[in-house]
Amino acid sequence: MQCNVSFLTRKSRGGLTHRDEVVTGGSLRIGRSTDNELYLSDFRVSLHHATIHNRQGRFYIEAESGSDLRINNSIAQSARLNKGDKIAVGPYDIEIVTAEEGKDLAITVELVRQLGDDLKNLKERSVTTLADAGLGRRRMSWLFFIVVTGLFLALPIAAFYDEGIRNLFKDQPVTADIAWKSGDFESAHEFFADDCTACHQEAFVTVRDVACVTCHTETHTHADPQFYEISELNETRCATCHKEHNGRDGLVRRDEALCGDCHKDLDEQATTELKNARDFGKDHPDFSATMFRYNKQVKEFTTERVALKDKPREQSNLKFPHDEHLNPEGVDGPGGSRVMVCADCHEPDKGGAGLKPISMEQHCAECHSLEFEPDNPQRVVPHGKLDHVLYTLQEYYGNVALQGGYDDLDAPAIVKNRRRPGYKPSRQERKLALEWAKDKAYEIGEDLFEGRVCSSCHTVTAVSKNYPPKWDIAPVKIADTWLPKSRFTHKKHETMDCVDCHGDASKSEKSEDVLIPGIDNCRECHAGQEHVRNKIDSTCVDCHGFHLAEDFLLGDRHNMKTRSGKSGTAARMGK
Amino acid sequence: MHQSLFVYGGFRYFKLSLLLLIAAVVAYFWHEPVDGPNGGTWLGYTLGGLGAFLILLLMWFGMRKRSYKSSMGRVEGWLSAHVYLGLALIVISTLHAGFQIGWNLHTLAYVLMLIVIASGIFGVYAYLRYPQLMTENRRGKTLDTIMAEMAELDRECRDAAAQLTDDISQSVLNCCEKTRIGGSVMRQLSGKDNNCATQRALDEVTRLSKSLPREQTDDGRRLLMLLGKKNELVQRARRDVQYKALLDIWLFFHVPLSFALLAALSAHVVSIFFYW
Repeated sequence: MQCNVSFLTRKSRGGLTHRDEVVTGGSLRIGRSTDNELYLSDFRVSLHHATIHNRQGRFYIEAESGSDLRINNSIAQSARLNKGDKIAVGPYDIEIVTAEEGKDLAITVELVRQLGDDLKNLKERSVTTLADAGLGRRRMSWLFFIVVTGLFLALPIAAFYDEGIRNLFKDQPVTADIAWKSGDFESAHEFFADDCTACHQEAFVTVRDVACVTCHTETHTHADPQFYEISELNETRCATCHKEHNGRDGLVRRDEALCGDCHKDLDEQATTELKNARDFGKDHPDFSATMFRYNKQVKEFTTERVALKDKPREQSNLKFPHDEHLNPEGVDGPGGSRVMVCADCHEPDKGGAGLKPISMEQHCAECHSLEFEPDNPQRVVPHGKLDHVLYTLQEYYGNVALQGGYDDLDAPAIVKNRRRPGYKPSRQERKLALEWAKDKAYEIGEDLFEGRVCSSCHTVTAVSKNYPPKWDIAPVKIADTWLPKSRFTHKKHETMDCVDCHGDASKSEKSEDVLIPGIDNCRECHAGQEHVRNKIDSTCVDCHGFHLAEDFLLGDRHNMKTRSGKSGTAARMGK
Repeated sequence: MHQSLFVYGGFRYFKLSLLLLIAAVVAYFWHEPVDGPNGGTWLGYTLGGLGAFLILLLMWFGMRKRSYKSSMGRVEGWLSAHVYLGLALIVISTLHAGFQIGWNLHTLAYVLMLIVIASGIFGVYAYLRYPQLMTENRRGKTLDTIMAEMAELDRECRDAAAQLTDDISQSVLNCCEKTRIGGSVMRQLSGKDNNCATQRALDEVTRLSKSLPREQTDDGRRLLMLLGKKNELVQRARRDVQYKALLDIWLFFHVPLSFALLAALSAHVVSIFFYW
């Protein structure tokens, strides 16, 4: 087989050159290997790519195993070749053309797919910087900035001014109620925690008291400006002390400065009986007891504050010697001698803060019996009801006189003598008996009031000796607490003995003694704000309240401000 | 460069930052606000103002380093201050917050700030470590020249494999046409390509060359040598890309997150005064 092979090369400026070869052989082998009749040097051609066979003047092409052959753009393993057929072998195109005279076959061969620039291709395939891999700082910066600003600034502000937006994003973490919340609420405020505007009613304005008095109308102010002429007194905003968003129990100031800032030199700021105080450990006046004073003329109690160092004497109108009752050798009673302790009379009340009131029936009557008739110790006169005492006695002795047989030498016979059954006293005898009973009641009453019973504890005055006789007992008023301006809880001190603080009780002969300890006693355990070794840090609010003005409430103050346009203080001070 | 970063101006900014830090810590422990330490006390506002100023100053570094004409201090000084003041900011902002954290915008700003600073710390580490490793890895060359060498080796490989079997030539062709350096962010950072065409060609040719006829063993050996050499260059190029990526990656957090921080900080400041 003789085959004319024409290698075509395209010029860069157009046009075509060719290099012709005549190949002779039984068949025409095509491949990269040099032993092929048609040697194609490109690396992408197989060593033995295909072979063209001549079978009786007809030409066939067959691919070698594993090689890829395209004939007229169709993949094929073999085909009969006709003029004009195009065969792709790797990057080459082989075309069957008209053979010259004397040649069996003529083909053109052209390298149509150049290998290309290795370096250029490698660089195109490679991505060697993060920016080329899709990361963009500028783009991400803008994205983050816009997203954060939009979600956490624009949206909460828009929701503040527009109810529609507010409802749309309700309970979403991007709302101000959640995203802007700077800390936990005081637990009592938790129920409106999802509404910032409950307190923050105006943008860029600090929380006003008007928000507080929505609920706290009944809260007392600190001091009534009617009595304390300090104009700043009620100008301070609630939020100055009550700082919200600092945790569940962080709303109450406990520091000394809360009080000390003004009370350290209160005497320079106002006319007041209050003494200067700054710190419990270092600068606090001695305690003053608030006691009852009894005015005999008008028969009324008034109160008076007297410093403990001035030995205050209370006028409770009760006679009670603590020393006799606390006699370590015991006190004689109906059941024999008994050593009494404080708790026999002073029992804690239910809350444990104070003590239950002393009651005659419960605490005294066992020894201080109100019996009047030795023969009948079960019968007693009522306690506390002055008028009833004489009635009780008259009723009792009237009954005794009418029954007769009463053992009294001075009594008339009708009273003294025993009666036969069925004997009916005459009208005269009954009159006589009741006369005796009246006198007897008077006599016993006098003995009770002035003699052996009432006057042991009470101040008794005989008002009228004529019949009916009248006695007066001075009313009794025992102080519930001598230090009403402070809060003292017995419960918190229950690990101590009573005598640790009330040691003077066992020596007290009179009920006038005010048996509470002075400040030195408290300071044995309690220091001021500044920590002292082995002592408890205690600040003003541990014992004292702040909202103390009895008749001037936050609501009043707010109403005054709104009505008069003046500050609440100025309005109340009449300025 | 990194020497001057730390010692710049005789540790000027180190001292300044230390001073700020000590002052903040002392003030924090001296100050005993009645409602506990928090951002709303006078010290809280002071530290917050200082922190916000520092954040703006630190971000201005990005402007300053691009402004070649600026006479506002040397860039080295700015960078030194950027690093030291950035570290001091951790303490100042923590004390500003009084250790209060929660699920809110304020803590978001704080956390963003911590991430920005952490990425900055990695940046300092990267600038201390990777340039040296890059120099060692490149051995006086650049990535471009390494890649040019690879392309040259491709040509040589094809020559060597011209008369070898089709299996081998196919492997070599794949090695030439499919080897790539870098790629996705993860691939750049890992410095590896689990489907590396060069490595695969090396393995295949090693296996196939064992059954080459005697007259082709020289070509086979040469081809293996060339592929081995290329493989070594590929590894080196990938490592170079990896170091460069590690040297750069923190900035892709540092910068965008600092803008997120700027937004959160603005929202934080506005929200505080909006709901005063």
